[in-house]
Amino acid sequence: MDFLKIENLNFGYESCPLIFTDLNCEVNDASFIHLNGISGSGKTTLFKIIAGFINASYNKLIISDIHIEREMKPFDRNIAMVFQRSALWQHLSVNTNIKLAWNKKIISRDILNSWIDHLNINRFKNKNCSKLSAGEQQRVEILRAVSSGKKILLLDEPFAFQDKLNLENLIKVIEEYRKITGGVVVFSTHSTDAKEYFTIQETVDI
Amino acid sequence: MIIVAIKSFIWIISITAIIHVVAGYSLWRLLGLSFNKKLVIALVSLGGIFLPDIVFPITLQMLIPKTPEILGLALSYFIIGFPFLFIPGLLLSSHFETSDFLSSCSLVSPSKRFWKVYFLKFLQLMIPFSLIQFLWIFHNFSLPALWEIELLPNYLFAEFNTFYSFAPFYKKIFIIAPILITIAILYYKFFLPSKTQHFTHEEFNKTNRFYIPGITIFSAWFISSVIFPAVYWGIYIFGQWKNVDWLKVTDCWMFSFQIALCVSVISLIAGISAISLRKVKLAVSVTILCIIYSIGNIAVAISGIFLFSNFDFLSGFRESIVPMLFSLCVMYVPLAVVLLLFLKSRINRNIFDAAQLFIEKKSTRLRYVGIPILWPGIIIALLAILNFAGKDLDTSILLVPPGKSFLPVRLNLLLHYADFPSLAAIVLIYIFVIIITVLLIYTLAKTLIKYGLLKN
Repeated sequence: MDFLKIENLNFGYESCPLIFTDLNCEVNDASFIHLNGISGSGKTTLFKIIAGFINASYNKLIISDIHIEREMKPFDRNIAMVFQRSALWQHLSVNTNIKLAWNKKIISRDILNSWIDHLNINRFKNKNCSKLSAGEQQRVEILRAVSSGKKILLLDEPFAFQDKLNLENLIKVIEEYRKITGGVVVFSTHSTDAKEYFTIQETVDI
Repeated sequence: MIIVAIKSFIWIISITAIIHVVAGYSLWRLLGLSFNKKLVIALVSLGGIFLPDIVFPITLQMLIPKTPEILGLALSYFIIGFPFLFIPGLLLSSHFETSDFLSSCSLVSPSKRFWKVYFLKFLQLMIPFSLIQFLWIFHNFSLPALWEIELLPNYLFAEFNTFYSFAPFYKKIFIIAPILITIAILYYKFFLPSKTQHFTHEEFNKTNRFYIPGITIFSAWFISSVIFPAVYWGIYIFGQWKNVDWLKVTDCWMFSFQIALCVSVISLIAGISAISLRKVKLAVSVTILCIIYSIGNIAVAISGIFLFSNFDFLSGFRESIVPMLFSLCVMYVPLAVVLLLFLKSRINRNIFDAAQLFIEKKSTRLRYVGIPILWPGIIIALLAILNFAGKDLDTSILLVPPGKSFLPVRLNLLLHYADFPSLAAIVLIYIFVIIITVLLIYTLAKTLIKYGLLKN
């Protein structure tokens, strides 16, 4: 199975023309993939290319055996993402944020409710997202991503504001999500704790 | 003509310099305020910018009939020109401020503060607004005409009215072009961010004492531009209530509102189209806006007349509201585009990216994410254009269809025929409408802050 395969990826911004030059990587035996790189190396850019927000040229991009064509719309790529800078819909309640992304066919109501309990989201689920703390927002954003039931989960620095207990709970939820969907989790983080908690892991350096 | 031109430039440059020094000084004194306080002051200032230009001078003329013309014109220019710099300056100081910029304000020597901080770090952001303020004075003909001082704008306007020739406006463009080119070269040569030096960090003094001069200047300006006319005309109408020609007042308001609303809606449609096209850039739109302002309202109106008089298929519309709408749209569509593009540039792109990932239907994305996030900004732009278009005398004076009365033109006529009770009624309603507009804009701005679209 191709968990992650990138062939000849090329991309640059006007201000920085050589971010990726013929980037190649292949992971065949890990469903938790850690994307490693120094700050500014292009991790967020790579996530955005995979999700379809940025157009880049490549020969092949396969994640979790899904061939991602360049023309595919973001929704059709079967990808969920947790953004480095909060992408919650701040004007909506926590409940609405989750309901809009929730895929009932894959994630049952019971599982979703257990995740809500697990992540201590119950007590503020009717609040507007703009009124939550950074840590609470991050947990809601992760819950929104996993409740979508997509096969590929991209996590861009997702644990920056979490204490140890919340971090453990988050990782349990993500692992449960991965078992249900049978997909791949690609994450970038500087938190050593988080890297250690994920059981199956492969590191890709960019 | 040459003497008038020289006299005009001495006037315009002197008054521009005075406005810059006073507005710059008060802004510098207010830099340390929190963004919320700055926002409140900026929004209160909108009251002054939304009032028709003619309100302050006619109030002054009524209260002190023997005001010397030179003093009257200088004060009028100052009262109306001040917010062009003050409002954007106040908001931009928060939008662009960096810790080194703020801390550099506490440099010991006042002269260094002025030259190294104000001129180099702040004026570079303010150049476009300085330019708009300069161009406004350069093109405005109603104020010198009201104070009966012959300057280039009213001289050329009179020349146009006498000979019905377009030549005066070409002359004007040839006069202004070298000045604009010089300003642009100076800007790129000296004021670009990369050319300015940085300072070491120091503690920024935030004692209350620091703000008093800035607040005093702002208050003096606000009292003169809004409170003074409101109180004067309020007292005046108290005894003249029965002499107000309400039919005229209502007609004038209805027509002006319809025109301003049409212009706002057209401008917003253009603005929304621009933000949905990725290729329309903010810098290009600002350039177009500056070009339109360089040409001037009257020249735009004249072009409208030219267009609707010389082409057979358009000449049928000459006496209708179409030429007026056309010219006002030429003035305000670029402004709407700039406002909305600025709003777009402030939006966290991830919010829309997340919507694309998690929500399949475009209609659901629009309903839950696109529209709720954009509407406060769109309504602010609508209210701003509604007010600007509704008070634009220069663009409308030559184009009001026969039998119709447009608010700023009507104010001039009421002054001419000395129908002061009706004039007082219009001014007071205007001030009431402005108060409601400002409160609405404040509420919407708070919503934008909540969504993280304005810096808090």
